[in-house]
Amino acid sequence: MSGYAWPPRSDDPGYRTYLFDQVAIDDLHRLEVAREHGAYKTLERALAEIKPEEITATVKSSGLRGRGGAGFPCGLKWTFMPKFDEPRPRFLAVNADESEPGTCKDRVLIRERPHLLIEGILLTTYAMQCRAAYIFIRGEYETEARVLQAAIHEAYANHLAGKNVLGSDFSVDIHLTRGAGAYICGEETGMMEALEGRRGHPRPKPPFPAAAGLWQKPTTVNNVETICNVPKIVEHGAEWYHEMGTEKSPGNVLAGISGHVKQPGVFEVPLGITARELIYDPKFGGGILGDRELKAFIPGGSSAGFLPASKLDVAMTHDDLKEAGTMLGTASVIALDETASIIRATRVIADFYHDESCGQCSQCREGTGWLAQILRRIEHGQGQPDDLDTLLDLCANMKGKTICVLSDAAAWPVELALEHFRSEFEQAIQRARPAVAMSSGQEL
Amino acid sequence: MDTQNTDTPNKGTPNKGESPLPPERVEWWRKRVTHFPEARAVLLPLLHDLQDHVGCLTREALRWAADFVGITPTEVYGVATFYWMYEYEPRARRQIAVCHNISCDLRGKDQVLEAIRDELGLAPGQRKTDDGEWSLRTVECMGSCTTAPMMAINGEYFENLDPAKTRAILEEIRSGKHELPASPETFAPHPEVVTTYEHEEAKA
Amino acid sequence: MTDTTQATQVTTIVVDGVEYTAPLGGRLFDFLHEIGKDIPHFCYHPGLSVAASCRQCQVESKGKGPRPGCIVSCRERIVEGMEILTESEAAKTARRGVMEFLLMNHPLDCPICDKAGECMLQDTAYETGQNEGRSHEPRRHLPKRKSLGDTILLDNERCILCTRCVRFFEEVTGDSQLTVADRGDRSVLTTFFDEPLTGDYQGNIVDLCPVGALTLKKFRFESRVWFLEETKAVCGMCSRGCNTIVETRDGNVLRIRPRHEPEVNGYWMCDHGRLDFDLFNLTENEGRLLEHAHDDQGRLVACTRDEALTTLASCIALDESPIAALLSPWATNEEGQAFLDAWTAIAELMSHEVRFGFLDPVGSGTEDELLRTSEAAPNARGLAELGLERIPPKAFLSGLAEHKNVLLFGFGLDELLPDVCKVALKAATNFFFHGFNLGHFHFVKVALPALSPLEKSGYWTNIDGRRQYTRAALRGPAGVTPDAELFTEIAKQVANAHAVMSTAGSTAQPGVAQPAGGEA
Repeated sequence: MSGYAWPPRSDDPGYRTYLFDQVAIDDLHRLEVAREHGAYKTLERALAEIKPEEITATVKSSGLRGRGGAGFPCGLKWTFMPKFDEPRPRFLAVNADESEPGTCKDRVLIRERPHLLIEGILLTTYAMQCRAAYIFIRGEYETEARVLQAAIHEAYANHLAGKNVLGSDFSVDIHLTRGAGAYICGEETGMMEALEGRRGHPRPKPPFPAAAGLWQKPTTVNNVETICNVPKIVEHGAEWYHEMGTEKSPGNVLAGISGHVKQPGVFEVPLGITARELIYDPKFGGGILGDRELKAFIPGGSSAGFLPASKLDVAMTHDDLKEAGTMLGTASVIALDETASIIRATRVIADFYHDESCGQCSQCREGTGWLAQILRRIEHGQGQPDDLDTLLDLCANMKGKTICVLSDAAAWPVELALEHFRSEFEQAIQRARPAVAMSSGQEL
Repeated sequence: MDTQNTDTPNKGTPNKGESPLPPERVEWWRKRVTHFPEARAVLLPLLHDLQDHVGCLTREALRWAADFVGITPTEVYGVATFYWMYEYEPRARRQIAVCHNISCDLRGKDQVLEAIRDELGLAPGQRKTDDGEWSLRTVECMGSCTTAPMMAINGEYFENLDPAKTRAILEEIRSGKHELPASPETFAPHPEVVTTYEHEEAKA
Repeated sequence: MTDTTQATQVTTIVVDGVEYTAPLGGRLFDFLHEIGKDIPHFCYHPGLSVAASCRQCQVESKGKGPRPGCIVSCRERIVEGMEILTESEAAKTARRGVMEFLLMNHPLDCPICDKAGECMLQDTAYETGQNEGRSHEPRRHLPKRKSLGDTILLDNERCILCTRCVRFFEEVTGDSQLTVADRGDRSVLTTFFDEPLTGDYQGNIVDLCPVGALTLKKFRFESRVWFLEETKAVCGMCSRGCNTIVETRDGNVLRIRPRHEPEVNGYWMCDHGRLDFDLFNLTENEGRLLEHAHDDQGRLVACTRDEALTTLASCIALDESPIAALLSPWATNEEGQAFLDAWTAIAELMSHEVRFGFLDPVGSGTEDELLRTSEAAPNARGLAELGLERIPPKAFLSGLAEHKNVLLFGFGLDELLPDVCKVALKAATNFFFHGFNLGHFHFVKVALPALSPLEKSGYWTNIDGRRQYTRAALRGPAGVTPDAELFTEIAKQVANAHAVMSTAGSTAQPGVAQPAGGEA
């Protein structure tokens, strides 16, 4: 099994894969087909032979880090849950809200391998002895929701979910809730609010979900891809997992490549691969459209902001990208070639955060709109000489002082665009049609 | 003269009369509500169902939903308006959503919008055709970044578009050759869940 | 909800370089307030849950305890080793940053906004010192004069989405009438499809609103707040005794708002007490009784106080039929004592029955789950505790026929006894009215003007037995005798008249003024 790409490719990538390995198999979303290919064998063994704490210990030693964008060590997060003798019910909240621009990999897993996700959910809830798993899927993923709901019903019908899973003492419910369109519901506490039937307003932390999550009960929130890593980790062990990726970023990741590449797609790759490889290697992006020059790339979804082509050899790991001034995020690479306008791209992304801000915090509510307005003016030839300083100052005031990091995520792309492509902005402002100089900025 | 207002405050009015949903659907929701510690947890999916049935979220539908889950209509309104997928005016028969975020913008979403404008006379920004057949809006990232540009029509994704493909798809839908899907919710019988919760609400 | 954390332990923390003993687990914002550091804030209110969304109350933490950097003091709990800087560069920059974001779309309405002078946004903007905005962008426009019913006007442009009002209806009245709709900078405060607000506590959201987004229709454009004189009073509309501030200008009440009193009304008051004050303003209340009057051959004519009292005293003294004297439950404890003393003395003098007490207000008001009691008057309990008899309205009305002379004393009886007139006209009773609005009482023998509750100071004992002092916010009209003094004077005059009558034999006629000769 050597599948590594979506849409499926027939070539062998030359390395081990475990997420997309089976992705080309027809009807894998159906239980009997999935079972033919090994689904739920690990669960069966775990329920019979492995204690819940051991599962957590294995996932912790594996070094698996969250794949939703924050990269928090997964097993460590599981240990934050209260001890099993604590009477409050525990929940797993599964984050299928995937809405980070550039990101479309959970979607493939849900639609093509729902039973991998369900097995992962069962192992995860078993490890933490949860009463139920509540999956929150973005409302726009209608096809995926239909497939997943059917798979959940199959699981219940076959004693894989519900009372006494596979005849064991372990019982757990799995519920699927569809969202209705808000990126901020991908933030773990925003998601819990939406699951509770409220506006998706992130909650101030502390308390963290493990202390007070869904309905104020201990909850762990995990991303779809993260959970899909669990069955193989449990099957093969932590050392097996460390054979892939890097020391601090072990395992494979589903990297999306989009934008100005010849072969956009989602690829399962070992962490540590370079951006250059992802964009240019014929196995993956296959190079820039029309063989043009790369101008900039986004390494991890829009929140990661822009890097110049000179940084192509950065390794796609959490630490390397952090050092490069950005982040791994969702490992969704977006390539911009020489014809792209960084100003326009920054504005498009700023529009996104403006649209998606929940509106609670003053800096984010007004700042996301302000950033977009300034960028739009610059884009349309109405930039003012103080715009760039204002942008950076606004970004500084938007970071680190809000309930959640959407405000920071709105600031990073602007800061990085100005750090690496300032001259493009300056030229646009210098070329601007002369606007009435407003010394005070006050509209009367 | 006493300013005291003795009107019943804005609690949901008890549901006398018909619900916007057929009885078997209401029964399905009554059971669904027991899967959550609070009745209002079904609100987002319930509003989707109401919208699919009624056509949009009318005042009556919102009131009914409020009473069903045990909160005020004002609260339901606040929740619903947070999310872009709910509408409050009757919708067009076919609603087109074109992503205008970064990957789609880089891969030609403008040309898709132009093709829609040429084919249907709908300009980006103009919401509905005169006959109420088609509507168009641009939306944020839909998760089709590697299959960009895209459009979703009544929820169904059409990806890897170019102007010709766009026009062809619109024509197929218009001519009836392609049928758009119904609601994604299957409303299959509930599985036998382990834990249920009793609620005072959702008895209406 | 009010923070009821009973912090039994203390710890030492450092604020701006000074060590303090602080309650472990207490709220940082509240503690800073206690030590005299008032941090700018909007969404935080001690009577509501914490939202922590406006981000204005930021201070800098130096790392022990909460993470280093700027933190919002409304949410932060005091921990050991806490080190806080309230005026560091980082804290000031953070707060100035928030203010700039709040102001960039805020309309410059101050010159026409009722909130000017008591506006938290104004005050904080002044403190943070950024005089000029640097935004080149056009401001956002939203509805500006949205009626939310009879009481409240909403200006969405001014709203800074602090959600205090939303939380008030969620947590205090429990009817969630307001919500934020949409999201981001398209957020708008709204009711359900613009339906009007209902309920009896709407005015509190105007107190809560830190800006001029929610305003009282009644107070709109009435006055600049710095011209208002404040008096600490107690509301008399029911026996809760909500603590209030009565605000007057040039002898008129323009606004009443609640005063925080955790034992009685918390931070709130009802709309009846807040808004129904027009009758206390002379300019609004043309029907108010301002002159003394007595009956002259079937007509009520103006006279002097002495003439009125003489008529009253002689009627009482000469007549041998039963007398009933009823005191309004609005009377203060001092007035009640004077009434009790006066009528005890009169009763001793008279050979016939003299019955006196106060009108029982139980059932005259509409009780609710929050503040309002079933008594539409402030001091039934206080008067009862003095030993005055509590007389229910039904008993009083049915007993009217048995008493030849009936005296009604004090503001409020006319409203509490709307049926008296009907019954009185049928009975052959002499009525003596001391009160506020003569209304239908034109058939009385003597009319004496009374002070309103806002024109006198004294103690009322509320429904829970709490004695509270209300202070006069207005000066009474000239020539109106304070109640207690009047009661004492009546007793004196009745004693005089009785003495004269006794010495003069029975030549004196009831109801006719006797010359004030000789004996006093």
